[in-house]
Amino acid sequence: MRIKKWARIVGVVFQNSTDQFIKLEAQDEIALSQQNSLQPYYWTERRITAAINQLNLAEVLNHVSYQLSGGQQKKLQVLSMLIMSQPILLFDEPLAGLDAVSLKNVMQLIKKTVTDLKISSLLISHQRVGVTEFVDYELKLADKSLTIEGEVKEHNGQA
Amino acid sequence: MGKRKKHLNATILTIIMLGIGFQIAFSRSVILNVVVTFICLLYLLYCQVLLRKVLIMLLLAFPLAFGSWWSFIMFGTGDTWHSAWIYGSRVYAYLLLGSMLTLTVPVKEILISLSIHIKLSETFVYGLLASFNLLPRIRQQFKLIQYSAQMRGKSYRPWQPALYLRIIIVALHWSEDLAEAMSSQGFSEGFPRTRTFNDPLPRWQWGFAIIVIMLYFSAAFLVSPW
Amino acid sequence: MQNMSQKPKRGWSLRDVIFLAIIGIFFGVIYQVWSYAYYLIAATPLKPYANDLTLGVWIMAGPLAGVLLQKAGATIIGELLAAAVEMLLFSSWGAANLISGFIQGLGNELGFACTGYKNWSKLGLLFSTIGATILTFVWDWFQSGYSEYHFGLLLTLLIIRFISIGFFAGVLVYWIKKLVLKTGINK
Repeated sequence: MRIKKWARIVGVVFQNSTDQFIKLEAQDEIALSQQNSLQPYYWTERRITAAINQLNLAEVLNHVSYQLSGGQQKKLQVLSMLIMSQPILLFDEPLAGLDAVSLKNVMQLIKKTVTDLKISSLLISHQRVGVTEFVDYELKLADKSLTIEGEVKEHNGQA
Repeated sequence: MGKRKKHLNATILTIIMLGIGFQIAFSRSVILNVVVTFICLLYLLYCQVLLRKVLIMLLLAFPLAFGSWWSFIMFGTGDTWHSAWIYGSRVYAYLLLGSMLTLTVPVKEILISLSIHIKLSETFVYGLLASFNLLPRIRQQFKLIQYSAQMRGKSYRPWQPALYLRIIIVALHWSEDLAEAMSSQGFSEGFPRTRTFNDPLPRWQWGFAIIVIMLYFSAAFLVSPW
Repeated sequence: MQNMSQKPKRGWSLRDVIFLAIIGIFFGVIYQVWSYAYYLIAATPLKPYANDLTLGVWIMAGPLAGVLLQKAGATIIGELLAAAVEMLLFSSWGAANLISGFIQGLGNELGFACTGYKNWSKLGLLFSTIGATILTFVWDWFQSGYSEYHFGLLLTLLIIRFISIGFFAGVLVYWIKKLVLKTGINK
């Protein structure tokens, strides 16, 4: 029961996409999040449609999630968890397999959502290019030590 | 394996376990169940299995033995007391018979011993061994699967096909990765490999297994005590 | 599903073995979660009810392996692998695990054999659940002393057993198979 409570506080975008999917088709995956979202007033039909378009997922909505490309799976994962809107969101390598355009769109959507909803989020990524401009703090793990790389931008609750 | 020279070989223990285990199902003797239980218990002590481990095992099985015993008192026909004691003590006979193998020999040695002495296919032996190493990861993955659903306001129950789909997908990916890794490390199916250790099985132990199984047979079905 | 195993219909590849063993270990983990419920009932005279009610869950591994790999022997070997996993990782029952695993797997396997290993769908699963129900009941007649119970209880147990096996090892396995087919992951 305790774990169930945690699941409403901390949301995770898993590194391995197939660990995320509950339903068969992409649209059901999104619908499930919409149905159980913790911020139902924010995630209106219109906003969800806009996000789907922004991530270029509209054409694959009726595809089976397991058969999407790696990048599409990542975007579906991110969108599903953003709609859930737990107060804390962890992203484990959410950008793997994304092209530059998708990457920018994903980061913009994450940034806008966590800012609007005051979600604390932590993003783990191997790549910095195109990412650092969206984050408040950057922690660098190198040579077995974790160091703060300084404030990237003004602080409003995310790292 | 040198330390356990005086112990019975894992293959012999397996044969005894199955040979007697199968017969126990048809024997109707309380006394024999008790005798089997005690002999196995003595063997466990001889092998210096941790006493605490044995006690916990005996204790945990008690409710099951008691449930069997009681159910015959309530629902039995004929000599209900005799039945109750047969099936109550049978729980312990089975438990001790099994633990004689599983508590005295590590899993790896059981499987390798079976592959050497009764030619159990090495694909199975090494496939099982490789999978067993995944146990902690599998436990972790099971929790992760549950969490993935709970994050979305759902819970998987054992009667929902979706839970098994998730398990099958993980098993497909991991088995592919592992089999590939093993092949690239030089495991070739169906070819003999060099053994890194030997597993001595003195000939007398084969005789011992046959005698023990025959002895049980005559005691259970020719003498058949109470 | 035909190609889920890369090897010809009869041979067993390392990947098949590992695949079934991993599923077996997952089942072991699920059993552990569930076994508390069984344990509570099994400590009372209602133990035979607990046995028969939960039996279907215990024997799912065999028919699941059968419908996924679709080859002769897959069912019984799948069940035996699950029993070996149970014996070596999760319990110390040893002989009891292996022998009942064999009986259960054989019952299911015979069902598929009745269709000449041609039907791995509804009909095969129906036969398989009937086979398993009969064979495990005969085994419990001796091993668990069912021969000593009075007739009313026996009849009830037989019905409960068939429902449990029919649902878990039949209907649920069928659903799972359909779901797996829909995902298109059978590479």
